[in-house]
Amino acid sequence: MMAHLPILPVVWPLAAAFFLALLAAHNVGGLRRMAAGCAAVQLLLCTALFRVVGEQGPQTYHAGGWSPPFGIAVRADLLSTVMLMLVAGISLAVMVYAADPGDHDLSPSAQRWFVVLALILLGSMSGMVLSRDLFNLIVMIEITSIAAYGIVSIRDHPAALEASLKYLMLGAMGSGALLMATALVYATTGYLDMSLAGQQMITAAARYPQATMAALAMFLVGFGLKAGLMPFHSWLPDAHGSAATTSSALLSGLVVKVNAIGFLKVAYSVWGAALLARTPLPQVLMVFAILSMLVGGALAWGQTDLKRLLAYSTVGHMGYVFLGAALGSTNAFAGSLLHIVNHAVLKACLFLAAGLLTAKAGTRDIAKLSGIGRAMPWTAAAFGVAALGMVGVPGTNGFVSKWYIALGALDLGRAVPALAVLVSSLLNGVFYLPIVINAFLRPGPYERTPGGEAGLAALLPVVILAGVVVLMGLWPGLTLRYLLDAARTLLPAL
Amino acid sequence: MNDLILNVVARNLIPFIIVYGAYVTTNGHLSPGGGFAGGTIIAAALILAVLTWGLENTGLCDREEMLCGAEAASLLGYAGVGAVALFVGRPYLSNLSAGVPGGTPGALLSAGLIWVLGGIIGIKVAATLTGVYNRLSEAEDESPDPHAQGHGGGRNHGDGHGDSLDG
Amino acid sequence: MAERLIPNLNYLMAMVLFGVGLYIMLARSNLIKKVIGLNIMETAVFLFIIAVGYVHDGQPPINPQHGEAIPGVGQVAYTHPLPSALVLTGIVIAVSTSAYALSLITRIHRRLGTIDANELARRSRST
Repeated sequence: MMAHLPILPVVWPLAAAFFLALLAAHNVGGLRRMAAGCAAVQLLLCTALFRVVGEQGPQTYHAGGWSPPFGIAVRADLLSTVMLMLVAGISLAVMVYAADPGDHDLSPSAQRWFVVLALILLGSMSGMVLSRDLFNLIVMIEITSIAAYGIVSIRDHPAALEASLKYLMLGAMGSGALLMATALVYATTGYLDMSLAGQQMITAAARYPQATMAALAMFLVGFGLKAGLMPFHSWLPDAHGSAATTSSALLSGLVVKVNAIGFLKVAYSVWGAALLARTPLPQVLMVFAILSMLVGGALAWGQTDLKRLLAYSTVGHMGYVFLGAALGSTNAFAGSLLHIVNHAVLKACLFLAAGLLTAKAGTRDIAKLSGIGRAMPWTAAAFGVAALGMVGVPGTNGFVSKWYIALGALDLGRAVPALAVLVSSLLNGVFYLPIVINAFLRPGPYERTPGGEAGLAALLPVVILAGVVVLMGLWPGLTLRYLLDAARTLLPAL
Repeated sequence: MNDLILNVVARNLIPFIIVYGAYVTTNGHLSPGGGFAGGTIIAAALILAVLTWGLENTGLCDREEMLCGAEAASLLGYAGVGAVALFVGRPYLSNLSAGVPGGTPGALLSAGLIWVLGGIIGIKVAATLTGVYNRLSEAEDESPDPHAQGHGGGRNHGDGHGDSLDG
Repeated sequence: MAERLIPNLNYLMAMVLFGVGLYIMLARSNLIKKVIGLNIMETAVFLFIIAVGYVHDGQPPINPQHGEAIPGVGQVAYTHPLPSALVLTGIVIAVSTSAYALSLITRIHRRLGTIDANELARRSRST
């Protein structure tokens, strides 16, 4: 069984999802608990894979016994396994939160479909991270996207329906662009496998310069649309803001991230750092990234709806991820990979805590959340810790990744990106800290009651995620070590 | 509907369409066709039945859970067929290299597991397309409600299990 | 210029269709027309992929009838079978996306009474 470990993180969640879909619909609570169990098994599988890759090096798995170029390869290397564990861990946290028998903003029938769609998402995101074949990546992206449109629309509210349709239209444009880009890569290099296409790309780019440039541009547009990079972000505030809490946590925490990871994998495996440096991609990506960071932060400033504010903040932080990739130095690239991990933890914690806070307050209006820290101290404290992590206060994981990105910018002698990181962090502080201060220090209508906190199943993921924030801030080497290695393999020339 | 020509033609054609769909499904490894095309043809036959006699008379309206179950079961079957190769020690979804008898090229029972997977996909596609058509045609009977608010307005008899699961 | 255009006509038309589909998705406010534009855009990509796999004077990549010997590779030219598989998968994905989009539009029409995108934005804000 150990030899088949690379394919199991994709097969197990999909099989579990359809098995749960077959079960009867009456006992939704049991269904949710079983789903949390399946997510736990997935985390075990991914940890085992991480151990194997750590001991034996990258594992390549040829599905169906056919090796490339006839078959599809699945490759578990350092970057893939770290991201796999991230996906599995955050999904487990969200599923445990969803298994809580308390109040949810989803009806019971919708919760049944949420559980199935979330497990499908888990399997397809794992497939995206592991895949080594371009078309397999496209198919996994489509499964992820359709499941993502689904988990927005199961909340039966007009805003959620409109947001899901908008997400679908823009996401489908991105999918069409990605499909055309894959077709162009296949037409120019003759291979769909990323390693083989990468070997051919230098001659192909010399022979068909416009076609390969068009393919790169379409990859940027397609992945950028799905990752919420400015100027392709317009679906994100509506979709993440109007979805249910658990849906938003999965979307903001994981779905946009794996699309960014997909872009980095494609750009650096098929084109390679040397070829990319000769295209205008780094400059264009830097402009988009800085625009995301600054404008995303500025747009979040004026928001009164807590979840919309968190969604705009996601737009801003995806800017950090792409900035590190655009800069191209090892430190910056490792910083952006680390920021993918950090922001997933932070945003999941924020959305889950926000769900508990808004359920208690009965509204999403930030002004009505004053004084809620008295009634729900643990939740508000976790929200505060995660907010500090978003700002980048030393001691939290956000600080480490932003530090590395800025360090990478200064390595190359470019002050503007480092300055943008600083200004964007200040902007984050401007709109996050007042919420935390309001929650604890302002007077409000909330009393300190013994049963005021949410149930254990809902509270535990929030507190554990906040604890991970601090843990990764004080001991960053735990993940940074592997991500620096991964960055060095992807950027050999630097 | 009470139209005589439609009744007679549909009643006589639907079995042939289903048989043709099954033929296309099972011949996926020999000629153009396979699970997707065959499943679509079978779904066309079922949709013709729904169009001719209405959803209530076809006996498919109380079988929504069955269609949904057919979809999920076929996908589980697909995953299971792929897992058969794991027991022999070959990678997932291996075919001839896992020792599945290959047969002579050109015969019906050849190329290992491809026709099994094709059949499973045919059932899945037929169930999905019929289910989607049923959901969409149920919605026509509802009048648009521009002032609907909250959870109550969007619920109707078909909404019992949320949005349709496809893709 | 014409001698470069004629052999590449398939690719050019695929790109033109892609642009047409994209324009429809962006410029038309009727939601059903947007779904049609999505289908045109994806059909353009399939046309491109199939055109890539075409071999001049090639046979379809299907084995002949039972009992006949299979001709060797050098004797008969077959078109590349891989693009057909890619397009088949792509068609299924496009059908699924369209089915989901249409059922979502039906649900929106039932709840909010409109299938115009601008009107939808107005009504979903006010509800």
